[in-house]
Amino acid sequence: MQLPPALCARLAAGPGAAEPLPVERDPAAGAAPFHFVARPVRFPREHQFFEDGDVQRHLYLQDVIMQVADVPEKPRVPAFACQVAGCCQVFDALDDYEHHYHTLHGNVCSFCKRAFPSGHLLDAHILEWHDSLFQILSERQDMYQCLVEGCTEKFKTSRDRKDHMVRMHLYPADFRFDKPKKSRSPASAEAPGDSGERSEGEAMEICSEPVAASPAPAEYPLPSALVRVPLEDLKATRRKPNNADRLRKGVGGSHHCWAWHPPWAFLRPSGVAALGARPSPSSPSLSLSKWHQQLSSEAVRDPQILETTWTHYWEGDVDGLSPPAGPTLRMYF
Amino acid sequence: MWSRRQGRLRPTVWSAGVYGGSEPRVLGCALRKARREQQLVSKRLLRDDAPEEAGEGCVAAILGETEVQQFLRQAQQGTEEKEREGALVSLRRGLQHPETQQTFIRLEGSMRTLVGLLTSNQALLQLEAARCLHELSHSEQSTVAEACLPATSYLLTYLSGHSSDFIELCLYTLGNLIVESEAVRRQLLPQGIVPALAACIQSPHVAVLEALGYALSQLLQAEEAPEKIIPSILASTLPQHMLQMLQPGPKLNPGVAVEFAWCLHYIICSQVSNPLLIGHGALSTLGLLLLDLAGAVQKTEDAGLELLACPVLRCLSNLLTEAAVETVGGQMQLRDERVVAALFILLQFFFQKQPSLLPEGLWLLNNLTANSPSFCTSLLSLDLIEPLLQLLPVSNVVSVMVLTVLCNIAEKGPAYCQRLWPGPLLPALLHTLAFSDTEVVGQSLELLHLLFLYQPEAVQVFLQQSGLQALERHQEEAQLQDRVYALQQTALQG
Repeated sequence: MQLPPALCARLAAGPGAAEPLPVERDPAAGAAPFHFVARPVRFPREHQFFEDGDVQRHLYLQDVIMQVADVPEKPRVPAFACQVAGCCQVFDALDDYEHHYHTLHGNVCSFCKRAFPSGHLLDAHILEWHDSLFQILSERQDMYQCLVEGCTEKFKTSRDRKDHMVRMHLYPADFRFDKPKKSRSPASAEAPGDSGERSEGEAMEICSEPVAASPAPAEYPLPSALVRVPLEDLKATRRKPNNADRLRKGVGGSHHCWAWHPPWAFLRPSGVAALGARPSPSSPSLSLSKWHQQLSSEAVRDPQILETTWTHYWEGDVDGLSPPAGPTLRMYF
Repeated sequence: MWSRRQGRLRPTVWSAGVYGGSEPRVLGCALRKARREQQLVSKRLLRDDAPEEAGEGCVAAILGETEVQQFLRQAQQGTEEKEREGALVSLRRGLQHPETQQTFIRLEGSMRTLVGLLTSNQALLQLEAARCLHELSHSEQSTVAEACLPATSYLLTYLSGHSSDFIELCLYTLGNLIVESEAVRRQLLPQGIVPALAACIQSPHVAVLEALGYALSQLLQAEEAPEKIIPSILASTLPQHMLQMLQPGPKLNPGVAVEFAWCLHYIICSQVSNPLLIGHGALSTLGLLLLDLAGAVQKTEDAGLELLACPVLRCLSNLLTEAAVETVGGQMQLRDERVVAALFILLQFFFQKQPSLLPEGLWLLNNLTANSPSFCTSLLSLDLIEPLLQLLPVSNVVSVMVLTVLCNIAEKGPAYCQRLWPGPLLPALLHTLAFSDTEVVGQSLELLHLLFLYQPEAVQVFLQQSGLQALERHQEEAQLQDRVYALQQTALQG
């Protein structure tokens, strides 16, 4: 197929449209038995016309399996330790360190040093755990925000929120990132420790008895050397899970159980001035956030906050969007 | 930009193979059959084959129930971190086998344990657990995909994290699970996969974006997508971001662009709300991308660009059928003549490298020219009629489409037909009249009719070149005889 030499030059030149030649149709053009009509053609999803291209797309995706075999081995470097104070993990690959850093030091609460998988969850934690104004307001209005990004529902209690997440968002009843704040009472048998006093390397919150339908804790407990309990009323002791419990369970028996604590347990005797809450710019709908930005903050916070502007959706709640009308297939070819 | 092929867009091994020897042709037939039956399931597998422990066999063995239990126990309860990680690596290798996958999902508590490890405070254990899940996601059994349901809320939660490798892994895993099971999709939607993707698409990491595009493309291919998925996608910020990824320029990454172009295609051909996309500038973005592609095709040797060209052509073609395309005064939003030049450069590229995509290119050409005197004039003024005619011998489908485009031009009247004749058109038509395919001949007759009507001088030349004999060949054919007769009368009277 030979293209005229000037074509490439035309492509490289500026935009422009040809001045159209005059259109002058004769009615005899469409007279029977001739029936040609110039029209654009539309092909819907499953049309056979797309077969060849779809097969090529499939082969491209499958071909990745062969290409991945070329992926080079992770480059190793001389062993080095994580530089974050109190963390003694050692690495010999930068990728591993990156993942460790983001997981354990990325979204960390400056009050209790818990790490969270996302800024969104960190925000919710700080508000609900370390903000006494939140506790006061939550007695009068619904303050517990749904943890699903994009859902704007709020609830009176964290239990209500959890019920909503289970019912509407099909989240597991033991979702690990929705732990209600613990009570002050030290002798709570079902309460696994949440002050972070646990040794490095333990999995989250394993305890001997399952507590049905309670939400799971959000944090990744940090090495005990790092943990301090900065606030008096969060000094509840934690039951440290022990190996004996785990061994008793065997592989299939590990249960992740969380305690439910009544809201009154979170009220602080001390004033708000000691709060030092960090700003939560990703929750503009909360009336607290602007006020708290004025307070000093020592928050260690990953600056990359993912904003979403999505409106809530779940099955059965699609408003005003009717299914498309059947495609007008004009099979011309 | 185009020569820096990052990610997975590389020259595909198959492109010579499928249209070459007989074995690949058999494969091609099987895939087409699968596509017709809507069984074509594409999955991506990120398999890290980096050799780790010395002494490990090259081929992972199938694991029995005891071994799976043992590895899970070691991973969960081991004292040394390396030991725990090693146990998961061994498990992951075993999970490459469907038998091990079945053993795993049948073992009570196994998924619960894996989810526990996935959410553990040991970052590397977490990563290995995610890799195990990824292996499971590659299964062709929907029972295995459904066994992974307890993990999905966590996979989604991690999309908002910051470890790009981990996010990439989660996305590919989700994409694989999505394609395998409707039960998974039914859970993921209320769990908030759309807002999670909308947040994640703002990542600066190319690998994450490519993975996201893949996962999204799988979600959009679901049967229930037009009713249940696409409306919420369109209501989110995803379309704007997708179009941004397709804007030509130094930031365009081919691997990422391929994924989002396919996503757009699935949205557009579902015809849920295409005017919305036009409102976001889809036509001009895709038009500029087409120009860019044509430029790249001239410079780069087989960069796999047809993988991007195909969905772009489809998107443009389908969008052009929307009424929203017309602005006040009936002018098309896409008016730049360079689009025609670019399209022909791509047609030439397809002709040489990928003839099966010629119909898709010609489809766009039809939609551009059908209602546009300006584009029809461009074809004439840029001397593109002869190159178009050179495509006639490729196949019957291509012939019909070429003739249709020519009809689009001819039907606009005498000013256009004057430019079609004299020239290679008449000899080409006499040639296509010799074809046996009824559709090809029928389209040729339509074109002849228009040519005779608007350019009567052509009749004489037609007769001189044994046109009547060419017509006679088809006068018994039911679908053609009326038109053959009418043309014979015109020719004899003219």
